[in-house]
Amino acid sequence: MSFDIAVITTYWPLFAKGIASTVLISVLSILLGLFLGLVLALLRISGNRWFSGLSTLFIEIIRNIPILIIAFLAFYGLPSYGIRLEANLAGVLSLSVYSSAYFAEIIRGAILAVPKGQMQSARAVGMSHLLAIQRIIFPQMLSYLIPPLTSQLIMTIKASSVLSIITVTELTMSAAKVISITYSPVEVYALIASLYWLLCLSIEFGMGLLERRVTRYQLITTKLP
Amino acid sequence: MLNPQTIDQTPMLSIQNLHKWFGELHVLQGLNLEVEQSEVVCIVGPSGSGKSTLLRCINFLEKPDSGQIFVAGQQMGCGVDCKRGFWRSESRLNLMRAQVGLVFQEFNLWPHMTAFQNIVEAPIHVKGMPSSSARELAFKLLDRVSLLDKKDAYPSQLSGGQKQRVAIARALAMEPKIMLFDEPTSALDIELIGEVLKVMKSLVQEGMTMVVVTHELRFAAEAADRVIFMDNGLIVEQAPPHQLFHEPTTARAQRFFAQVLGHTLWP
Repeated sequence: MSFDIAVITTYWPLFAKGIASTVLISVLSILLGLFLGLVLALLRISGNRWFSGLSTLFIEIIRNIPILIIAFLAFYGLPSYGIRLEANLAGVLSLSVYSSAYFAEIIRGAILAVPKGQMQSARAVGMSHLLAIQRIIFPQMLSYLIPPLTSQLIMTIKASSVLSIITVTELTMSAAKVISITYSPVEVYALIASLYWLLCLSIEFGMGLLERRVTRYQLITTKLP
Repeated sequence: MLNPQTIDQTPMLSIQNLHKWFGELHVLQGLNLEVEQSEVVCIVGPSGSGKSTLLRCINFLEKPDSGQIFVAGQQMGCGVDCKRGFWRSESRLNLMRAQVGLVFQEFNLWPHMTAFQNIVEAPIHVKGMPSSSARELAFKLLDRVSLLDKKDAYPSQLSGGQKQRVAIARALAMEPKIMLFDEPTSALDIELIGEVLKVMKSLVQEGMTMVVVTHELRFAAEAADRVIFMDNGLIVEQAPPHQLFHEPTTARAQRFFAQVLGHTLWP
């Protein structure tokens, strides 16, 4: 068995383009997915039967369909209805919608984990439901949110590799291209495995820093002088 | 205490035929209550009698199933705005809630904010008070509850008594017309109860209208104009404290006070 480092150095520009595209697609999908997820979570806990029902229905449909099928539907299905999306756009949209269902449940869980008395004392001084969530619940829910959210961000990044099947030119697609030229799957897959690993690890690291920052108030327990 | 000169014609709080159900449980069974301006009313009664639910209904943390509540003549809840859609009735309710201060048994301070931030939060973000005025107000209130030196402390750095005093200051910061206390000393260590009662007594002296659910009969005896004995979601009996404690007229109240006073060191 041999390991030809030249495969990597020769085709590095292709891999670089692939990783850049994976990062861009992941970031866009995560941002859009988080926004959608927040809206879904707020609708689900709104107390309004219709809002909550619609949000629950959406989450339960999306969460139980494989990302690959959602991507197929977006890329090959929508054109039947006259909506022709470019592969990258179809990829970002399907990944956003897919991850939004998970984000919504994580956000909902974090909001519900904040003790009930916090919302009550916020409403008691006259805050609206939305203001109370923004000023009182949100800052406290972060400590319940970040650990599961970190896992979900990583899942989303890894799920982006599936989009190569609908011809999105991301890292896994670059790998397939190089292999079709060089016939050296070991070097190429070892490389992109390490690249995904590094990317996900840096997310973990960043979220760890964020967690320490937003939970700082919980660590202060010493008495003031 | 009750000061005849300041009494307005409209009662500060008026509750008419209030009903509340929790599923099958009829917690408040058509309760009526009027509290005059600057009057201090203490509510006592066995647990499960509906005391806390009554307080939560007054500021609509629990939505009453029927009946009407007026604070300073204005109807709590959406009133006439009920028919004008969800958002309008919500915003009216928020305005009304801001006029009713509520102090919780478990303090419910916001742990991610310092004592100072807990107090300025609602004046700034609910009332739209400029931050300089809110600052001034917060210092005044912290001084009033003797916690100026703790202004930068987070709730986790405060004792139970200090937390409850910050919670009282937080409620006062909205300049409420009436203050509701839901067993404010029940979660406190015995030696910390006094400092909270002292702050509450200073409010009484300043003429604040107060409704206090409490087990502190000594506080009720010293501060209340009227004590209400509740059982099974209704007011069973009400009278000035000493009269109610020592000469209750109903059998239910006689049993309760014989039981309670038997276990309390009584002057």
